[in-house]
Amino acid sequence: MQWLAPLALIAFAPLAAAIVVLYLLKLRRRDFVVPSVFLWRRAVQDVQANAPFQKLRANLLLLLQLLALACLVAGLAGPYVMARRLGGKSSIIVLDASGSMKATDANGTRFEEGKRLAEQIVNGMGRRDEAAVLVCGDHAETAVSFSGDRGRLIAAIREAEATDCATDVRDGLLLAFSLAAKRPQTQIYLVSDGAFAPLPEIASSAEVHFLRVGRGNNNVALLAFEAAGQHGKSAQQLFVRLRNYSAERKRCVLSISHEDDLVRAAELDLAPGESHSETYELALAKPGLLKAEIEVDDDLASDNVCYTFAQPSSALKVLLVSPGNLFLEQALLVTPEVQVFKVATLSAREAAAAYRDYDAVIFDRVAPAVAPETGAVMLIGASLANVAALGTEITAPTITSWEDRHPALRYVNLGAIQLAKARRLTPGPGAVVLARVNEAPVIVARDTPGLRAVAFGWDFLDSDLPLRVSFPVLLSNTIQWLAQSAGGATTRRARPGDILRFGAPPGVDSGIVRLPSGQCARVSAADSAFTIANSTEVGPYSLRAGDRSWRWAVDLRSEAESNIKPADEVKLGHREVKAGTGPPKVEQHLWPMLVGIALLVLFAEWHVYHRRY
Amino acid sequence: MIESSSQPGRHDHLLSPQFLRKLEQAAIASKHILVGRTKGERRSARRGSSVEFADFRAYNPGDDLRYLDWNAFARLQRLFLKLFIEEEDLHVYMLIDASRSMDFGSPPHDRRASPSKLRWGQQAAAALSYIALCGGDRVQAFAHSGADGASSRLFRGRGAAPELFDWLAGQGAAGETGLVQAVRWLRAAAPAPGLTFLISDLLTPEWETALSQLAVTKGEACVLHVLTPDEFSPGARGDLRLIDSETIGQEQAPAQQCEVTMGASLLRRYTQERDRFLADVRATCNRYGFSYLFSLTDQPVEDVILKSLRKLQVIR
Repeated sequence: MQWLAPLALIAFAPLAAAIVVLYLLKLRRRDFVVPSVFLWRRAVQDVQANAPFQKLRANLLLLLQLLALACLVAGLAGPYVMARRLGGKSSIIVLDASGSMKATDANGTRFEEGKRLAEQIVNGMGRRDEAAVLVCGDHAETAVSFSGDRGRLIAAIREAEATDCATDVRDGLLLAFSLAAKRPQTQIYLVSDGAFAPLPEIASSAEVHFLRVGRGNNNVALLAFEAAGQHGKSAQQLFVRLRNYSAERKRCVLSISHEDDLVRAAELDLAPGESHSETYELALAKPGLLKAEIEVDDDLASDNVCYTFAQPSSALKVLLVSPGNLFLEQALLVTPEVQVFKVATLSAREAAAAYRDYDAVIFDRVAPAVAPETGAVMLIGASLANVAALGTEITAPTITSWEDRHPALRYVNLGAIQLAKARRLTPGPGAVVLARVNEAPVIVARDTPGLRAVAFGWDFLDSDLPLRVSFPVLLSNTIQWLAQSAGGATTRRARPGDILRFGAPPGVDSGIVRLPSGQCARVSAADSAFTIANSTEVGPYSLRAGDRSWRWAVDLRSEAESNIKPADEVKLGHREVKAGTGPPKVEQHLWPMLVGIALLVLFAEWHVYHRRY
Repeated sequence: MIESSSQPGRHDHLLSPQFLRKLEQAAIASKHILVGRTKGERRSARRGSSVEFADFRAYNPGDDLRYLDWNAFARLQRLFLKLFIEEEDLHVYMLIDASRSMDFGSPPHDRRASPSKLRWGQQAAAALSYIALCGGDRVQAFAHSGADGASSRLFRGRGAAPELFDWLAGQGAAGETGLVQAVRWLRAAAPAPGLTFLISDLLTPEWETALSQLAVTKGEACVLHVLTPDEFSPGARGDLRLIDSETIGQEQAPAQQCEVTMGASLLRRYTQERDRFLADVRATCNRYGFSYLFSLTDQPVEDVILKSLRKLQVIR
């Protein structure tokens, strides 16, 4: 406890001495002649028999008066303590509910510790303070808008649940900043482990406090699990990559199962920080779900399992429509499981047939004569009305952002590509932007029932992409993705929070989804498709609608989420916000409490005095 | 009706003429037959010359022949003398506590204004004395305080009332309460056993001893216990030094004092002690066979004498 005016405490001594002196002075009594003191003495004798108690009662009054004096003098001295209270009138609590918050290196999980911290913040609110709660899982959500109702805020915090999704703190902070812009002096409390990439584009004048949860980095994660069939063979080649993020050696048991049947097991010994890969060849009689799981003592369990689907091996038929592109042709030739057919032009009738007969049709600098209703199309420097339209040219283009989680862009570093020129794409209906040059879309994809398409806004020959290692990877990813058309693919892999769409069979408007927990839920079709947006839990899912069924598996496979080491600071715009373990401390003045105590003591002293007399 | 003397006496304000007329209808009731001195109107244990036959005895030479029962002689051939109940007078003694503590009443401005205890006692003694005088009894009054005391002559007859009233009214309050000494003095000075009226506030530690002394005195006793309303329910408040009025001005020792802080708590305890004191006095009087009456000075003497004492069968 500290004091604003400690010198005021000196006043206690003389004032207390004055009170004691008044007590010591003989009480003046008025002389009163009575006929006889006979009865009075008998009455007083009873009092004198309890003399010690009477002395105590007299001392009690003195003590109460001294106590009241002490409280008043102490109040004058201005005592205060630094208490963890909300600093401003308005506060926003941003609660990170991503996958890394499920780590169990806190008192419970990090998310549970974060919720306790959030409750602490709410309990530190003043009577007129208001707070809002935002929960950032797969997307940012306002759990409670600005409210002074502590009960409501705490209830919302307790209802929040962590997900297995990747951290989306960016959207949460942007939402918090937009709320703070309407209220000056708003404090923002980010409750997170800080396991996310810097956010240089975020800037705000609002004061941000980073309340860190979590302690260590005790985690071993499965980062990759791929299965590829070999052309002409029934065997599947499996690739597994895992990494030990902890600072100590870890032993783990890797097990691979095919439709719940264990097919491989291996004991691995990983050094601190080691990234380890394993490849296996499995002879599988039938396609199905493959699961890789590691049994290890670590703090995050959701990244200890990965899924993939074993697909029957068959070559994809790809039609290349191009005036000539040596790099593209060679790259396609070496793409595994792809059979390439090449033409220079394609009439409308031929295009319609190609959309139906080929797994994917690539238009290289050739505009399709007719837009496909179904099928899979790749456009390189070409327009297609229902996918993307070429716009204005972009000078000195450099790809600044891309969706590295999209299946077509996995393991591809587009930022290193040197582009001579590119053209802005205008996405068509239902198309999404996969890559941008600053704000201008340059890669667009469409994934609608029956039709998948990817459009590139530049000629590959106008860049050094064909010379890069990424080029065949990009082609292979894109073709594989295109070949799994939304209406046709029955198996799929996804990450937590991904939105999946499945084409509904004609005449079917509802289906049953089976979750990893075994629970079933009914879903309804909209626009002839089932949209699944709540696959936030790791594990296998299935959807049955009519006589069709689909399966997909969700796993983490994220370096960012599996590296659960709590950050010491977060970078927001140009600011570096240091981590704290609780709300900032502010002065909490104690004089109102002391004055209240003094009043209570005075009331007690008055009561004792009157009961005495 | 008592006529006032040529000189206006101090008794003029003791009792009102109307009250005196009522007192003439009353009579002192004695529970026992007491031996008197002279012929009076009360039955005596002795055999005398009243008209009420009491007994026979054998004739002895020298007896008055007028009292021979000739019918008995005719029947029994023996001489018997008739014996008659002697009617004698009753000695009534008024023992008034004239200590300084009796000189307290309510101040005139007090709405509970009442005479001092001494004045009230004088009025009660005067009233009882008048009843006794009207009934042919003898009355003697004693006023005592501390080591001093005064006693009146023995009064008899209604005509002696003014002088008795003057004497009573002339007694002032002084000194401490000396009840034991007063009773002893009464025992020594009283010419014959009789009925003693003790009028006092009994505010002395020796009250019980005094009553025990009174119990061994031949005769009957009636205790009129009187207090002022303020003594019964004190109204003073605050931090006080209570000074005993009887010990003020003593040369040998300082006045008795008691420092109190008047408040609800102390008043509760005082009330408890007062009630306990009154109950002890009543119980002691009952034990000794005394008639006991407690009164406050704001109660009219007329009501006390004619109603309360009548209920106690001290007056009829």
